Amino acid sequence: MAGEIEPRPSAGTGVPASALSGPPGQGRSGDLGDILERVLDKGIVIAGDIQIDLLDIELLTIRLRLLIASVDTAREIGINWWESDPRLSADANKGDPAESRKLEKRLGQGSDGDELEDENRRLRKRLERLERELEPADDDPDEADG
Amino acid sequence: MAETGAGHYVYCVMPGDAQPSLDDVAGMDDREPVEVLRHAGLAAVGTRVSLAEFGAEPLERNLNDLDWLARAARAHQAVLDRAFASGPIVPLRLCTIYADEAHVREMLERERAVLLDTLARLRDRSEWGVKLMVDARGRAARDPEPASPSSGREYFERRRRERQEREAAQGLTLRAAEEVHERLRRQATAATLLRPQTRELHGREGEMIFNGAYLVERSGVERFRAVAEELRAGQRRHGLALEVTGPWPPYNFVGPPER
Repeated sequence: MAGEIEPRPSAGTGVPASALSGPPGQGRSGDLGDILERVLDKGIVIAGDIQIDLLDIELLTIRLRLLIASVDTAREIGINWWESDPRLSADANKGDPAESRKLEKRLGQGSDGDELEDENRRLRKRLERLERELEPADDDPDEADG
Repeated sequence: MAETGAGHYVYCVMPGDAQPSLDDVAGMDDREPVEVLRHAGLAAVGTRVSLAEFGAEPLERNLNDLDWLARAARAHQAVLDRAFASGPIVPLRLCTIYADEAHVREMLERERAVLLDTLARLRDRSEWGVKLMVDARGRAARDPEPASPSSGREYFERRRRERQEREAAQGLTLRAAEEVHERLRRQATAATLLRPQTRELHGREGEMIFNGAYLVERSGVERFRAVAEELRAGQRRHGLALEVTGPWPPYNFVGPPER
């Protein structure tokens, strides 16, 4: 499972962006993640003579192949697109009017939200079980009905 | 397609009178100069590339080689940066390649209207990235798991407390992201939300909870950065790190206008 890939130590592609302290025009970091998310997913798409997956099938194929081909290399330079939900990466991320709603939705879809729901379900189950264990049947004659 | 000969890789398009300084920038192939091809009132910044490397088949293999991909992405970005320093550019997506210069001219003619419109719209504007990071590990360290619960009730109590804390933290980060986005987009000509990068992509500890891009007027950059700095100071108190990157060529703002 992709989810089992361990987080990398802090060294690597992440270059702390100290843009705010730098002089104007020199702030951008050389963070590979920032570059890849732009050069692969953004920029104007004009058909070239050499048609490749990047244009035709977008990134999904590449992402999947990356997973199959070289997980270790990917981890070395810090890429794990395949862990992303393709439905999310497929949308254009654009559109001012609905941005706040989208933002909310996105944040809600984060792992915390899912985790929370799972946790709630687990807790409810556990609650039922523990209540049965903790409360002796003779304290509550109706318990068997519940 | 025979994988021999050369193709013409195009990085970006600029106005026809652009004078980018490209002499010492390494492009896709450091043996070939990065050149400007002027046609139809436009300038295409490109490099001759070998089809042994950039032909359809080898290219597909290369794009799946992460070392190659990382090098190509950096080279593409380096050329764009250089071009962008001299005026507006329309960035093309990585690996847009033509058979020869004649086909580049055809493309410039064919796309002329859109390219000119986009260049006009992007003049004196740059893209700025703003991210919010939360240090999940730091949060966990503040709440060490205590000894095993001695009873079911204690277990529950603890779980309920944890859930409440998590919900509170989640609400906090949602509000923080909203505040950041709302305030920054007021300083921007256009704004868009990017998918927060996963930990493996950003390569650091902690979790990215927000990733926005803003198109900012040159005259408004100072103000934008001042607002971002103010927000950064405020978010730090909540345990969130706000990071600004820029100026970027306007990758995220070259699409057709929003409907």
